[in-house]
This record gives sequence, C-alpha cells and structure tokens, in this order.
Amino acid sequence: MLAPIAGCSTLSPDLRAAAATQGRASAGVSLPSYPARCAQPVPHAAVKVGDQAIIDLKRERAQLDRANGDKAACAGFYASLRDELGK
Amino acid sequence: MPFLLALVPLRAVAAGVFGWAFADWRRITALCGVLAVVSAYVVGDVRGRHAEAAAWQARYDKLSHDFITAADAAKAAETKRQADIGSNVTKAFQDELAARDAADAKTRAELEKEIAAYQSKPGGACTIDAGAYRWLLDAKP
Repeated sequence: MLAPIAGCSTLSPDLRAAAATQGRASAGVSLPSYPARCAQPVPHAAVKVGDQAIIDLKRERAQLDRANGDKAACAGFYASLRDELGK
Repeated sequence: MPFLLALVPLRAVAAGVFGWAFADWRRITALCGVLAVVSAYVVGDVRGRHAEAAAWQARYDKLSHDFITAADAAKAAETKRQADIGSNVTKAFQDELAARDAADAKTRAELEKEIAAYQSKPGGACTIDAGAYRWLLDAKP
C-alpha cells in the first residue's frame, strides 16, 4: 500500500522545480538604489559680464558633452541591470 | 431511510441468534469465541489502518518540510543573486563614472588652455554686455 510513496523520501524533480519557482517568486525583485549622479542636473557653464560669447558657448558645449555622457552611463546602468536580472 | 429499513431484518436476525445462543451455555461460549475473533480482526484492521495513516502523514510531513526548505533556499539564493547583480552593476557604473570624470578633468584643462590661447589672439571679440548677460540667463533687470 505504501509502495507508491516509498520513493518520495526526497523531493522529486517536479517538486524541486516547483519549490525553486516558489522561492524565486517569493524573493520578488530587489533593485539597487538609482545612482545619485543620474538624478543630478549638470549645471550650465558659468557666464560673466565681459566674457567672450564664443568662449561661453565653448564651455556650454563642454557641459552638454558631460550631460550626454552621464545620460549614456545611466542608460547603460539600467540596461545592464535589466539584462543581468533577466538571466 | 433504506439504512433504517435494513435494521429491521438485522434486528430479527440478531434476536434469533441470541435466542439460539442463550438456550445453551456452550452456544454462548461459541458465540463469545466468534465475537472475540471478529473483534480481534476489527481491532487489528483498525490498528493497521492507523499505522498506514501515520506512515502517510510522516511522509507528507517530510515532503512538506523538504519542499519548504528547498523553497527557502531558492528564495535566499535569488535574493543573493539580485543583491550581487545590483552590487556589480553599481560598481561598474561608479568605475565608469570615475574614469569618465578623470578624462573629463583632463579635457577641461585642455579646454581652458585652448580658451587662453584663443583669447590671446587679436581680433574682434564679441563680448557679453550686461543686457546680453541678463537675456542669456533669463534674469530680470
């Protein structure tokens, strides 16, 4: 009578898979903190009366380069996180 | 209702059997012997079923325990995996920022050199006066 369950002393592959699925589901998704740098605005270049306009424009473009670099890095951070968590 | 109706002939049969048995003490002894055998069989059967139920319960408890243990282990492993991923991705991001900031500082130094060289050249420079300054910064006069 007990023969059908005699082999159940350890988890069967199906039960083991179900336990793993339940464990992963109950773990939820835990994301790291969003980098503070990604939320910080990049300031404009300083401007003073008497500055040459072309030089202020040059400095402003350098600030824009920096802002674009931050934006790309933050996008990379998100993409890496999504790819790794999805594996 | 059918069960109650079935009791009527059963009662008649029981009355017949007991009437027959009580007519002679040997018959009573034989009847007691039969009842003892039947009782022993019933008790044995019940005990067997209890033992079987206990064995099933024990196996169920073990399976349940093993399942919960495996699920807890999977949860802990998943939590650790996510924490490791978060830590690694954040570290990679910080490293990239540090490298970029270092390169940016160098670029800025080069930019200031370029600006100094540009300013030293003669030529009509378009400078920002007070009106242009206010307009550029959206500042009120």
